[in-house]
Amino acid sequence: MKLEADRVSFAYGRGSPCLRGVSFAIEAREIAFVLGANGSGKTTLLGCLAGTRRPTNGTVVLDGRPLHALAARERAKRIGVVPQLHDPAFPFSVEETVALGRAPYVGLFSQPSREDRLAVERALDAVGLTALRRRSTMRLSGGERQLVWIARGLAQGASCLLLDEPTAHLDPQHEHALFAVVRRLAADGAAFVVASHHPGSALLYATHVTFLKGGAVLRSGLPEKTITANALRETYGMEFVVVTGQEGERAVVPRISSADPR
Amino acid sequence: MSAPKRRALWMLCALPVGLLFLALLVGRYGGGVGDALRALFSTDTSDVLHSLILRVRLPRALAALLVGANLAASGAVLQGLFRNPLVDARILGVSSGAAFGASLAILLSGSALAVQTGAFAFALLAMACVLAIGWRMGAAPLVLLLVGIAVSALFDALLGLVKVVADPLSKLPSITYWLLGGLSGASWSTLAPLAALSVLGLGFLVLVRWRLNLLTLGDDEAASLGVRVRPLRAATVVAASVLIAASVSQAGMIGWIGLVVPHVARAWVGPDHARLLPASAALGAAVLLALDTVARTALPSEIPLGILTGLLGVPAFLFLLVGYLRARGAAR
Repeated sequence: MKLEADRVSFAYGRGSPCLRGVSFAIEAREIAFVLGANGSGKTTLLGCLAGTRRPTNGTVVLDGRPLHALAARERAKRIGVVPQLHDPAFPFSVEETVALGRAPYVGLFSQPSREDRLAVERALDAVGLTALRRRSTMRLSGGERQLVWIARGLAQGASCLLLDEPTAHLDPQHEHALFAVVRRLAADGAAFVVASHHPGSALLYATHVTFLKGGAVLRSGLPEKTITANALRETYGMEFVVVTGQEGERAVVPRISSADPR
Repeated sequence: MSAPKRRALWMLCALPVGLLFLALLVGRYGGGVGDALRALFSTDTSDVLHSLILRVRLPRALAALLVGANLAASGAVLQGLFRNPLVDARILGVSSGAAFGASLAILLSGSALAVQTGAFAFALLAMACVLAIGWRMGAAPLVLLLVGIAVSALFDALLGLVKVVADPLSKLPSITYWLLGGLSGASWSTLAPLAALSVLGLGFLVLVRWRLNLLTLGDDEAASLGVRVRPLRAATVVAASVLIAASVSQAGMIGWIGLVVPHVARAWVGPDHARLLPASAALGAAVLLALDTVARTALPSEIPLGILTGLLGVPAFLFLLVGYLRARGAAR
């Protein structure tokens, strides 16, 4: 599996472009973080990679074929999306929600088959949600909900999952639990693109990092080499320190000067 | 599917059948249930009660079942499609179109066939307006909702116009009475088109029942699952509208069934349309048949059905609303 964006630009309607010539690549077993300030184009880039937004310029290529040349169903069998907000309108159970991932496989007038149900069971098992299968998604914690939507992507058969700010509402322990699952799935061959506001998480969990600013790639590369005080200043317009702990663990800390209001 | 939900679904589906049998046995004419039971199975074709049951009560009871099933099933589907548990059949302007069509037919002719045809034709016209305008604006649920409100208001205004010009002694009362809703006009000949349209609409919805779940997602989310939402949404709107149009043209304006029944059904069998659709249809059929039986037997003169559904539907709705708010922690 290889998903590449080649000099992709995108504009909503006639507005100014949200993406300007972005190149990006992800392969199996990688966890690529996309970092950037609000409005830097992270979500739009995910939309282009998912194929739900067609670039105004440039192409997204999946395994050597342009993404827009693929039928929507075929695309959905390869790329899954975990949206930022999932606010279910009705109390669908975990199992029913994950089963919606089988949409590309179920015909217009058909019901999910035995094979579809097995795929749902495997996906639930992969994220460790089998025990909660009958629970309504409305009665889950934020972290469990993220896992449900990841399982839906797995049920889709997607080998590349796009996560839009998956830890926005999670405490550190749930964030860690979520990324433990993500790393395990990546080790098994899945690829993850994670749009995030947490450079610290990227240091901990990413295999690759891309900084976006104003819709363009600022830098990209390995996390330990790319997440620097300079890159963070350019991206967010404020000062950071990248600190290294006694056991080599690294963290990103905003530098608060004495002139800042307390 | 868990066992209790499956059991609830089977019980719901058995309910209308039992009620149909009961409804045939009660009525203003004739003696008690025993006489009716004897007459129902009598082979004597000159028996008045026997022919009354077969010619009047049976088509009317079947019409009640179909109208109830149609209103509840379309309500369930529209609630899913609009991602809003508080919408019902009126949302698309279809009922307003039907009301105008029926009143126009009463004004111009007055025959039962003309009224049924007029109501149905203008209901479809209202639907076509909503879809044609809504499609150009992207066919998002909110767009369809707002266009539906506009089209509904237009036909309400036209209905007002018809009422103003109608003869206040003969035509206006029949328009008013028709708008209150009722099944006293049901017969084998009006039942045929209702049944045919119900089979078409319900049949389509039952066939796509699993995919209806996908309509409850946002457009982008459905697109990421490889689903083309707009054609499916449009086809579903057409099917739901045909069901509403067929029902309103037979029974007039009957509110609340399409709003309340899907909620009760959802609480029993869950939100998956594969179960919700048959459960809503069965419960809607049973409730409307029960209410219509009350409407034609409780008082010496018939009670308009729309009044009964309102009297029962409003408290049921408020009850559900409190539960809904409590579940979200918005009310104590």
